[in-house]
Amino acid sequence: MSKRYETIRHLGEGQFANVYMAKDLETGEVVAIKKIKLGSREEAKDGINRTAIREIKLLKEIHHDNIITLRDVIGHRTSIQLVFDFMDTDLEHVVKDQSIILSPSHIKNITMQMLLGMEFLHTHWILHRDLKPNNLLLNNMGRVKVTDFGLARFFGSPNRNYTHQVVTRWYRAPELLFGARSYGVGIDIWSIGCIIAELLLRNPIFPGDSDIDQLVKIFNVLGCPTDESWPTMKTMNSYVNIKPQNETPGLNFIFSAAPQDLIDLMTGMWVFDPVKRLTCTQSLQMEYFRAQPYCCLDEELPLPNKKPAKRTRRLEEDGSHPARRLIFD
Amino acid sequence: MVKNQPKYIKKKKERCFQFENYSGKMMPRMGPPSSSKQEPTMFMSFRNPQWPANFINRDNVLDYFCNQGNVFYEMNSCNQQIKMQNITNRSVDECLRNMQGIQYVLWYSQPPLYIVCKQRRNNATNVSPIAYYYVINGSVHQAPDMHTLVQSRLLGALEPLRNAFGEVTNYSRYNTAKGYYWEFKNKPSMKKKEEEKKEEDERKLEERSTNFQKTRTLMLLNQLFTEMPADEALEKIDVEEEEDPKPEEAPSTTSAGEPKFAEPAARATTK
Repeated sequence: MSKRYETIRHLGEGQFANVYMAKDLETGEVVAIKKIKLGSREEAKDGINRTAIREIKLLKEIHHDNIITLRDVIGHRTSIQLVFDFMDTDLEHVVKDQSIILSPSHIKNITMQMLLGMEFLHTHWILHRDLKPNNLLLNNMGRVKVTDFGLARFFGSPNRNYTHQVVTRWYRAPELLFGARSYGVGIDIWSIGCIIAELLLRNPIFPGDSDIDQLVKIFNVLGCPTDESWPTMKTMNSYVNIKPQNETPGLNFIFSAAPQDLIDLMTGMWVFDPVKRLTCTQSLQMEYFRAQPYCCLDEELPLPNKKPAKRTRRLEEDGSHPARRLIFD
Repeated sequence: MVKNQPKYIKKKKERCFQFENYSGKMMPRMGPPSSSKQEPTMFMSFRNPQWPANFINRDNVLDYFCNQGNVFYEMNSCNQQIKMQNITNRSVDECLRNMQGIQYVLWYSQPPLYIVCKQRRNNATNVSPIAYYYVINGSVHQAPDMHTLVQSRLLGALEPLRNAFGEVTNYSRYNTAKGYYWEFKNKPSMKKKEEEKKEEDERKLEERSTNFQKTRTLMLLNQLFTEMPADEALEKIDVEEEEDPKPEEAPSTTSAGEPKFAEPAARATTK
């Protein structure tokens, strides 16, 4: 590690990297350091890992509140270390923590932050391609940030083909499951819809075991696409005909406590034809964000195993002294 | 006893419709506009035929109440949020305490009578009740507030009087020589009509409740009377006036009506 950062503890290990919590000795802030694994000499011969290159390439250029900031890149001998903002938890932990009940205004806040981040990416011609609760980080100030740009890439070149083997299966859009080679922002929107559903149900909505099972799970909830609703469906590379089920319970039944405007938003995000699917900008203009209950404050978002009191104390340590200000005002 | 129940509901509904019709005809609706909005719920009831009434107990009565088909149940309430989010390892009560918004809680239970309170929770220690529902023998009704109750009773007393006056004015005549006098032209037919009416009235009286309801509710009412004597109720209201943070809780245990009607009464007695 470089002299500027002091490692505090090991946070976790991913497929390509180890993540450490560290202290920035210059600013005193806590940061996360992602140390890319280089693997064997054989692998290293071709250069460093592609995902790391992608991350560095994209993140160096984008700065947004709802996207993780790449603060620094350290090349040290054979290792590459990426320095990120430190985030306390991710949405997967929030969803799995049964001691948390997500209120409608919590969900609205998370959805909005998620969409704002993604809108920024999409307007800069970047597809994330791996959105899932695990990749949405949350810090103790209630800020949601999109992370893990290992699969992200620029899109929009008409003559370029992309692989359809992207996005964790449960959050994969139907056109990817049908083997589409050219796709757009629709795949990220679909994933966002699945994440909202997961916030509402606290369980994945389409937990498919295989690609075919994934399609079946989707069609069981949303019904089967028809030639009218998705004209280009049958031209897909690996199109399979799935026999339609007679009855779908309907989104209103599945999301029994969700308001109609949220159901409308999710219906728009789960339109089968990617061309007709909502975009981030359109989603943000939906009635849902204009209706009550409005978004809660960022700091009201729940954190796993943490009481709000703890966070206010931390605020005071940061020097903002909310309690004292209250008294003197 | 289960057989009797649907019949009773049907009758009650019919009766209520009658009441609604003539109250609309008789006089313009009085009172705050909000109360007239809530009015229709007063005549509704809910019953889930898939649940045998004797299966309902203290622990599952809220589950019975929180049903998508229940007209009194709001689907965006906290209870439904908890249900939708599959929170299973914590008790509903504990979850509700940390939430804000519309909630349904079991207020009182005395099988086969349960009272469910619909409340708005403002924070962990402050709730404001909105309405009370009683679940008796599997059917859910809204408890009327004082305004509706008094109005209904007054109307019930005034309507026959008004009819009588209307009838009587048809037969009074005036003549400068004689002054006022009665004139009954078609006596026999009128009598018949009157008899019919009487019969109808008698039948209505009989229909007002079945034998089971009379005996069962009498028992319940007596029990309530002994549990909550009248003077104790007043004391509770006094306490409520002194304590600001939880103003609505005290009267609600004593009367199912809206607390705003209980307050003036209490003031009157203290004076």
